[in-house]
Amino acid sequence: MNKLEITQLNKHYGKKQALKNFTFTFTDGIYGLLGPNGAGKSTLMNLITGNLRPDKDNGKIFWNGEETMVLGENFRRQLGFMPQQQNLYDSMTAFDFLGYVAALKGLDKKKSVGYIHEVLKRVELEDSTDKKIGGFSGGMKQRVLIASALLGEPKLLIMDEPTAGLDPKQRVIIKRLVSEMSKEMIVIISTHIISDIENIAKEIILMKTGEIIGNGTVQELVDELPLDEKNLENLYMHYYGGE
Amino acid sequence: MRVLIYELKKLISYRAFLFISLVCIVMGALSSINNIRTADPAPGDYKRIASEIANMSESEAQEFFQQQFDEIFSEHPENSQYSGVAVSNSKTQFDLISGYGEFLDSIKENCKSITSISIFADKDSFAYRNTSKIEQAYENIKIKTLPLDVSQGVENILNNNISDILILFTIFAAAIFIFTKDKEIGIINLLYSYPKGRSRLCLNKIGALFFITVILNLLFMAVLTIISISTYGLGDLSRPIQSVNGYLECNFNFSVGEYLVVSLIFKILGSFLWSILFALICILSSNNAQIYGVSALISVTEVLLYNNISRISNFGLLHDFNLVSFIKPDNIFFTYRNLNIFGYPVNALLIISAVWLILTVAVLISVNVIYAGGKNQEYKRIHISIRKHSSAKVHKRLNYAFRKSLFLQGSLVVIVIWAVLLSMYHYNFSKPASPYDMYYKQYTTDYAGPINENTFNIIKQDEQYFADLDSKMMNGEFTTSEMNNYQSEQNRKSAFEDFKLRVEAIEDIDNTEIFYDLGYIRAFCVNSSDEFKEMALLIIFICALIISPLISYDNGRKLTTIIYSTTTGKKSYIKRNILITLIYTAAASFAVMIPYYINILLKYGTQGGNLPINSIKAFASFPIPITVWQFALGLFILRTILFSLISLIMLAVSFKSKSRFTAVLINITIFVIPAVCIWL
Repeated sequence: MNKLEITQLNKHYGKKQALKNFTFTFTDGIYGLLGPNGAGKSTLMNLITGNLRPDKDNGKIFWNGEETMVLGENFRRQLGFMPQQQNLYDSMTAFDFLGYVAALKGLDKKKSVGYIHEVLKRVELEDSTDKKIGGFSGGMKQRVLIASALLGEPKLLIMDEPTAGLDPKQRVIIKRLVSEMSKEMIVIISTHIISDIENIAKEIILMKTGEIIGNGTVQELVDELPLDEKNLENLYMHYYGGE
Repeated sequence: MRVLIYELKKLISYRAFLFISLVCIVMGALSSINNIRTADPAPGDYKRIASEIANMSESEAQEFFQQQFDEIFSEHPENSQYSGVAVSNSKTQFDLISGYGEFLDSIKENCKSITSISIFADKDSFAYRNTSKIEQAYENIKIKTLPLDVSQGVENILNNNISDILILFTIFAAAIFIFTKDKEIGIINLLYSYPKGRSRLCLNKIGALFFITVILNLLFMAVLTIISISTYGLGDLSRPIQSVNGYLECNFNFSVGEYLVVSLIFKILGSFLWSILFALICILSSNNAQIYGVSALISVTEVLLYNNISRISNFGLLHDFNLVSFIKPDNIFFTYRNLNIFGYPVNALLIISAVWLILTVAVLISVNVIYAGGKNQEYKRIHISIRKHSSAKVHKRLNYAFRKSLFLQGSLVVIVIWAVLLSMYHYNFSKPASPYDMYYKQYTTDYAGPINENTFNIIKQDEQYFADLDSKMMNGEFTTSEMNNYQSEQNRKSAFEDFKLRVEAIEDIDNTEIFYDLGYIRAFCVNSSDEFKEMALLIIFICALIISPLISYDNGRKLTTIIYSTTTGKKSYIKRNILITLIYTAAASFAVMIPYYINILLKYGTQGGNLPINSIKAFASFPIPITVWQFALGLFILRTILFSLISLIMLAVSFKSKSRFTAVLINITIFVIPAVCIWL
């Protein structure tokens, strides 16, 4: 059982506080991070991956009992990160890009080839292995990113808007894939698309202006709604509808 | 190693980088060929002269040179076997290397005499220690005589400033591609989350940069070597380096071949320091404009310090511990010299190498720590958030177009850097002090005004004076002092001849007058178009940089499809960009040419501005009756129109290009590179 523990995490950008005393413990399973833009979801993800540093003496992140900052490379070896939609190296082929990622993840050179073909198959890109990323559609690029996050069998998977730009069929495939893998790893998914996590998330964390305003299983959260129609969409509108 | 290979693959996959490298190599080759062509009409003559005297004794060789000079200065110089330049340079070189033994003896004697002079004889003084070390250093030289062989080919490889600049520029481009592309496309966050995505990735990127630095240095040297071999030839590579021009005082027992290798290694190491410095700038900068600005500032400062501070001045350390010095191995090897470090003489080679090592290690650590620390990423975010809060005003379309060009496309920074370079260009304007100018000014000032009897009388009088001088000279009636006077009077004669020709050319034209016109002759490029070429290059260069992105920037973001669909549409958008192009070009033209005209007027005076342009000999038959001022204005307008046409073609390239990078590169290739080649 893996455990990611976050205690009293704070982050400022200049005078603006992006994250306020964030405290939470994640264990194996899927967690959905919900919240409008500026809620602090991406900041939280970047703090976990180590792309950002928390304010000085303001909060710590522990992976299986050890501080991630101290673990450094050893922590990042367990990590699979998929940032929000972004550009890739257009002149590289999908295989080359994943080869580059495999090298940066420190995966064995010989085994990497097999891993790459496997993840490409999982995201249904096996036919585009040797095609240049520059010619890919937005959805294909998104799947390359997912494949890169899955390389090396991570124990902690962090995904920022993973299904953005995917067609309904691809969404289902990715949802199933994530759901299957979540049995032995922690998956944190930030999304605006409620249906992506509605049925698979073990727990939902509702965030607003850098704080947790609510958390629990989907059922627990919707049960608390003071409305007749109890679903996740109404829950979202209840908390963020005025924004 | 795998990551390094991927980094190299990535770099090579950028077509723009390959294009820049190729263009720089071609430019290096063209400039080298041009230098050889202008310096030597027959570069092959050096090889022939060297082989001719290879087996001659010193006196036979001197006789051979005398024979060649006699042929060159005979009534039929066209019959001479070799070009005058080649004979003269070979003779100078031969005299130098013939005296090599005496040179070594003179060093010993100098050292002895210096150590015996009472003020230097203090054994604890720097001068004493230095002298002793110099004596020891030259005692190690095994060779005593030097052969004459072709020097110019080796010199062309070793002392090629343009190639050095082009290598650095290409390395700069490589550093940008390796270190900023990840930031630019926004993938750095992802890379940073990988186990080897920080310090290890940074080291691999530095490795890739080093590899490219080696390759570029090798490529440039190979091109120069091929050119040298096919023109001058390199001569015997096993001969001592001291036999090459400028290396007589070198105290190492290197052969020419060995020195070429040592020089290449030094250049590689020196340019590697530059490359990691560029990498540091790339990491610390949050946008491309900062990278170009800071890099240009550092490079220009270093070049100015290197060129303007002598190594023997009180600030000599700024010359030696200079980034330029690290890519100039000659600065270390051309002679044996020590630097004064707390009263102790330390060999320049040792201390410059030590400084290189310290700087390289310091920059390498900084690059690694800053890259792995990722502080620049946070800075970028804050930077963006500040921008978001900027003014919420709505502006006119033209205003937006200018703002987009100046701020989003980074033209403002380019303009600021260009303005600094331009002010240096104008600041360095000078009027050469020549005796001809002095005499010509005397004639045209003393006899300024309409041409009259007095003018003709003076012409007759001076004509007679110079005829008498010439006849005395022919008859050998001069004493030594009169002979010297005759030589200096030749300048006055030359000025008089031009004055006379001008009078003859304009005497029948109404309202023309004599006035001192050398300033106008220079401004209107009558005798040389070099300055106009320089100014044209400055204007074309800035236009290429700021006009190329105008439309291509929007094309790259597919914004033109949105812009064309608006009410004002495509026509208005293009019209606006044409207007901006014309404004930029006019402003650049104004900034370059008007201060130049003002400098001319300040140095040469404003006399004659209201007189007809026909008063100047070169324009005596100019058909339009206008004054000198009007002509200057017309010329300025015509030149501006010419540059505007060029700029409009640049805009057309921008219109057709899908990325601003491509547009800049195409415009540089079509306009700037030919302008550079013409200027060189």
